[in-house]
Amino acid sequence: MITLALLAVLQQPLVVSPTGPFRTVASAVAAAVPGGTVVVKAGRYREPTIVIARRLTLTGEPGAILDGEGLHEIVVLRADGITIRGFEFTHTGFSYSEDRAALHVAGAHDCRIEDNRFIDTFFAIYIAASHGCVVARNEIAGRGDRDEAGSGNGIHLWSSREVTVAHNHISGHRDGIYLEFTHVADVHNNLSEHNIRYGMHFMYSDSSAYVGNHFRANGSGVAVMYTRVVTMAHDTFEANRGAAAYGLLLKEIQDARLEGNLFRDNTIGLLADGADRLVALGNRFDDNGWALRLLASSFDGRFEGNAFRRNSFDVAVNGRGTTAVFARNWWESYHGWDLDHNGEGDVPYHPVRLFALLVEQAPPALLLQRSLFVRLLDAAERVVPVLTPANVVDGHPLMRDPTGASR
Amino acid sequence: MTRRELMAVGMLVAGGLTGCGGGPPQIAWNSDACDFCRMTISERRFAAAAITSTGRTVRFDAIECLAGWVMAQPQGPTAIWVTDAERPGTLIPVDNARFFRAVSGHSPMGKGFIAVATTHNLKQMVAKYGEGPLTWDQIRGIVKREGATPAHPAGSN
Repeated sequence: MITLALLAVLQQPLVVSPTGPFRTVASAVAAAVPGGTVVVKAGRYREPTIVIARRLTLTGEPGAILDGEGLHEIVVLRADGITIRGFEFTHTGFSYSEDRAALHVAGAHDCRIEDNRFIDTFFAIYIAASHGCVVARNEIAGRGDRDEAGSGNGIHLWSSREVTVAHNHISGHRDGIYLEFTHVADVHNNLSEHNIRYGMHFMYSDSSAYVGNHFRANGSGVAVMYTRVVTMAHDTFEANRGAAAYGLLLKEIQDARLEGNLFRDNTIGLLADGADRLVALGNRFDDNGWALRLLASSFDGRFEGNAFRRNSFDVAVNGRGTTAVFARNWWESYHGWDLDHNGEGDVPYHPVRLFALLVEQAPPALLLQRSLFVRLLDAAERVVPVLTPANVVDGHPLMRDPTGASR
Repeated sequence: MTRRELMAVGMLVAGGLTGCGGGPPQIAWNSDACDFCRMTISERRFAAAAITSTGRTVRFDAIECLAGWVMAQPQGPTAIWVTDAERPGTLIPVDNARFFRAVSGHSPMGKGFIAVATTHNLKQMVAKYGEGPLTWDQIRGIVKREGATPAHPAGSN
């Protein structure tokens, strides 16, 4: 014991390896002085939950594996300023009664969680009541078993502030990235795919920005709910093809700004329900079933400079219309002309097809989508709009794709 | 018994029969969307379901969504089920359940409601789940007062 204590003072950093001097991570953590560093050599470490209650830097060398043996949380942070870097976390097992996580940050501010791997964990990273943490460049792969309840969220943020989540790759979890009561988050350049429910999901998380992320082939898409002031820019939402799947669901969202995003190959690209004062600028909607579904509960949206290409339906609304304003968008199916060469079509464009309204009333009618009758119906309605909402209209449709993707 | 009471009994019987016909509804996990908040139903401890007065089955990801939905209906549902949290994925009739409100609030909508069958030991349940036991009427009262979602903390921002 005296030798170990002496080592702790003399030797910086403390080294953990299967052959010593420290054989368990917990013993090195206990011996380290605040501000110290613990380096963990390659090896599989099976030990009870490691609780870190002082400011330390833990670095895992390649092959350093922390194994929860299917039974318990692996590391819990309970002090400010802790860094965890370079480890593989695995086998937490799963629990119905607790949100068991491989790495659980509990009221510990300014943590850094970087360059780790999380393989087959229930929750991978769980941050609660902690501010100023950075979660970056982690590789997170859950079991992805749809029929089991054995998947928690990949990165789970609860009641935290000023958290940065960047350049992580998350797959096989319930929700890839989850935020609840988390404000001023910066979520950028993550890839979240093949998660069971949502690529990202947040509720009650105001004043946050989501930039440059890629969400693809998640069970239902991305769902953001009950939140004010959301910025989503240069994100990609694609390949969500379930019967009720969407690229992005905005549910009870005030003052969202969507800019330069790509919605591609989704059953519904963007679904807005109770999304007030939504501003959508310069987004691309390609190859979706419905590019945009606006429910009547969404007020005062503005859609400008977006491009709509190869969607079965560009816009669908329920009820008789919407208060949303469309201006200067590019619609591939616009057949107007521009005699004064100002770049804007001289006749307005009505993006809601009559057939879209029929499908809204009777979904099985979708079968008739490619029929000649439906084409005639749509053509007739375009010439003399009778049933389609007259207020859903782009008075100045663009002649060229402003996003530059088409010509 | 007044005529109104007789009618109520008749409706209950009819409802009960409809309910008995198929037992509790199936939930397609990770696929069905909540009929109140639209979220995809995933968490096995919190789901709920009801049969509307017109015979339609509705499903919910959380008890708070069920309560919010019931409140918005002009006519009460004919049957209601909630999940026995001690047996995740198992729906039980609402009359056979008692409710708790967990302080940590980790239900899908953050309100913290959880239900367990009345057959479980009450003391153990209180120790495990916190504030309670509450009745279904009390849960509805809370949702009526506070809404189906937690008080939005945005103001503190």
